[in-house]
Amino acid sequence: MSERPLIMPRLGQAMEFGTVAEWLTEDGAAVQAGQPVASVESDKATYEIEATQAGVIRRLAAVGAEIPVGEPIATISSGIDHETAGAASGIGAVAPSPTRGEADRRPARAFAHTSARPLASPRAKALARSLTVDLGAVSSHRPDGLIVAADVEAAAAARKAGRADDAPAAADGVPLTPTQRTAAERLARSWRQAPHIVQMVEVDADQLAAAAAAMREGRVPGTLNDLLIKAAADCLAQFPRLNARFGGDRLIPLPEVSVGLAVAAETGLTVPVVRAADRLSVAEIAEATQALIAAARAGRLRPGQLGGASLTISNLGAYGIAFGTPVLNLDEPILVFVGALEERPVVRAGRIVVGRRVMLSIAYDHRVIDGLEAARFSQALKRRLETAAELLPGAADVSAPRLGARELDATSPAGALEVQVRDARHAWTVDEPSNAGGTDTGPDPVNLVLGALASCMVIALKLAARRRRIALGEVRAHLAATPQGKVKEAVLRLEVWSTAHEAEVLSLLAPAKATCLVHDMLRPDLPVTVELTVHPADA
Amino acid sequence: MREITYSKALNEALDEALAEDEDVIVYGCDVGRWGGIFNITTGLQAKYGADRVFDSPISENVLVGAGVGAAVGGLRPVVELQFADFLLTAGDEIFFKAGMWRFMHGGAFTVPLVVRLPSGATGAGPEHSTCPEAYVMHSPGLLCCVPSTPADAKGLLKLAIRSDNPVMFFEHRRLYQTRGPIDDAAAVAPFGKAAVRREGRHATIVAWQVMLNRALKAAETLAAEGLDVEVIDPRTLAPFDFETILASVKKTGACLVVEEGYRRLGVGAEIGARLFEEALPYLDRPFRRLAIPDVPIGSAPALVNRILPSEDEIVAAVREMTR
Repeated sequence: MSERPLIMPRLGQAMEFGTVAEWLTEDGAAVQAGQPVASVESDKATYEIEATQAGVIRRLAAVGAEIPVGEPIATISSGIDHETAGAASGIGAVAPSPTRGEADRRPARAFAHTSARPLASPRAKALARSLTVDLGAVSSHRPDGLIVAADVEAAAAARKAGRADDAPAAADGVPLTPTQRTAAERLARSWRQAPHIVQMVEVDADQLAAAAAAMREGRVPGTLNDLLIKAAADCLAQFPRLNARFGGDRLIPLPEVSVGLAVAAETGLTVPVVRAADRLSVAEIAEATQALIAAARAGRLRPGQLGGASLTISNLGAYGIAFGTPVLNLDEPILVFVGALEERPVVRAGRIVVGRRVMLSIAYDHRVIDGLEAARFSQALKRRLETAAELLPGAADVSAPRLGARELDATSPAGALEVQVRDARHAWTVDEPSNAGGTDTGPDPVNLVLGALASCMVIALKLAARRRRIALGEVRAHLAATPQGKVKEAVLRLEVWSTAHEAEVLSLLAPAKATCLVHDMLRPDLPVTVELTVHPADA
Repeated sequence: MREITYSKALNEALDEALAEDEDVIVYGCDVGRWGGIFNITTGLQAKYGADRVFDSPISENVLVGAGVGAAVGGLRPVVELQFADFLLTAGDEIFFKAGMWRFMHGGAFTVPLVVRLPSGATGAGPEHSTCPEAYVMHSPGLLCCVPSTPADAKGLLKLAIRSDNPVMFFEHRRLYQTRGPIDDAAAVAPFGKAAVRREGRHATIVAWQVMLNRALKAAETLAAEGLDVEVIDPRTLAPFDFETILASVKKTGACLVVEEGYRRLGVGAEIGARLFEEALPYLDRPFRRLAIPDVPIGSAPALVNRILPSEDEIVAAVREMTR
């Protein structure tokens, strides 16, 4: 017979206690190993606790009870003795014994964290007992996660400092929710520990605004925040030294570029994290943030979705806030506060014009990042956002003013015949072959029109077939026109594959010719107005 | 205070012991006319005669066996084995006779024998390179000296010769030419008393002989980084001064043993086990060992240097463990 406690797990780095939200089993019920038995809430996440062995469960905590991390919420008694089987102390499995030379060159192995109990050195444990520090509230500064005496001392010092400048406890007033309490404690620690510097930088937001409009209209996936996450992650990836947290006497590089996004939920502000955001496209980030925001609002974020960000984005632009002096999230080196995107008078080429601007207020942990490095990052982020359209697929159409269904823009750079044409949704290039003085970067204008005629006729034929419910397979067209100079004649041969009767298919040609708008357009009396405006240019 | 070499210190110890006590005899291959292959016994035969300082045939088991008999019979023989590896060649006489006879015969006699064992890797191949002191530490009835400085070489050898119990005296060949101060007036610390060669608070290193010197150099490098390492020289492995190590580990919480013997069940293994038994509440970092991996020691210098713990490895190990 063995009885094993079921303990409150640590669901996040900062979690010190959890609340039993719901019991999923009856008291005294028989449970199977791995069976969810209770749902617990931390400051930020809800999590189901599973039975660690088969047996009979005895509840030790009521719904709503706050239980410190590492303390039991229930016991499970089994009829079989599992004492030896379950001695999961947490020390990593012993590696196979090396047979040759490398045995003592090998660094000490990392300590795998296999239980919710914090892993601490014996000295740290003894010290924690004598200082009455809860090891569950101590975080290790070591890469292998082992809590050592210095970590306990730091936690004791932090506790003392916290007592000194926190407000005295009062009997009345509104108790904080776990989320609020954790946020207060972490923000106070961050503010105390990290010397903040804030740099404010104004961003020309014309492209951002165009991108945001394109996103709102559903032409491009994502939101402005996703674009901000992408831009910030790309920039940080270019400054790997900045992607670190302060570790007392050293900088501890962060393993990837992860971006937190401040999300308002009913229980308070949470910051879910998009991992390795620099390796994702805006569309992939959009997918990730949608899931994270939904989970955050539902209070269903998992521990892995919180904390450990390289940088957090806080966007209060929708509230008309221009700039701020943000407080860093604990152990994160950078926070980007995004202000309102507004139209402002700006000076361009000596004239005051209307421009769109947004202000970034970027807070840095000055222990990790010096002012110059910060300025370089601020500048890089500004530039990245000013060319935000490049981050999106189909870059050309988001920054263009909206074009009507039959409106085109065409531009041709100095020194070339090449013409870049775009309509509301597409862009293409028209050029001349090199023997005609062009650079052959696209079809010539005549072939483009001939192509339009051929394709329009094919489409018209297919539409006619669709109207008459005549099955039409593949359609091929061959167009041959006067080889050089003016086009005096064009011959278009169509071939179709169909299961329908030949006569039926042949009868489609007349309606196709009648409805092909390009065929109709190629008439000599089409009124075309051409105007010319001249702008002075530098010599 | 004068400065002498380690080999001169050993020579002086033998000289003074021969002068002080006419029961002392010194023998071994080439120790008489030639003065020993490492010149430790130079001039002694000329000074004390071939009856007390003499050459012997090359049979280590016979050499030590004769020593055990001479010791039981009342003399104080000092036998040189040329290479410490031959400890095992003479294993029967050392482990069974020298180590056990006083006990086996109910204390009817003592065995005041000293076996001098020049040790250490000098590129002479697997059978002429080891530091086999762990065998001695492992075995009952034997004392074990591992002097690291000229002063200890002289002091411990004189104490060994005066001891009524058999002493395995490890002299490291790479230390013979090293120099160090010696205070002729100062009392020599007894067996079983370790020396704190450098004080520190961040980690404890236990090392002796060549590894002690590397540890001290590593400690200087680490000091420049702000890591104060305490370096302890045990001086004798049997008896072993665990108290000094325990006191140090209580202070530092971290312990690294650097040894030139084999890693598996070596001296470091014993120290680690003792710490686990007696110092667990004080350990703040995993115990670590640097030693020779469990492979034969080659002849090529490149092979030897590849497996000997280096100063850089000591620095890296301390950095890693104190992180």
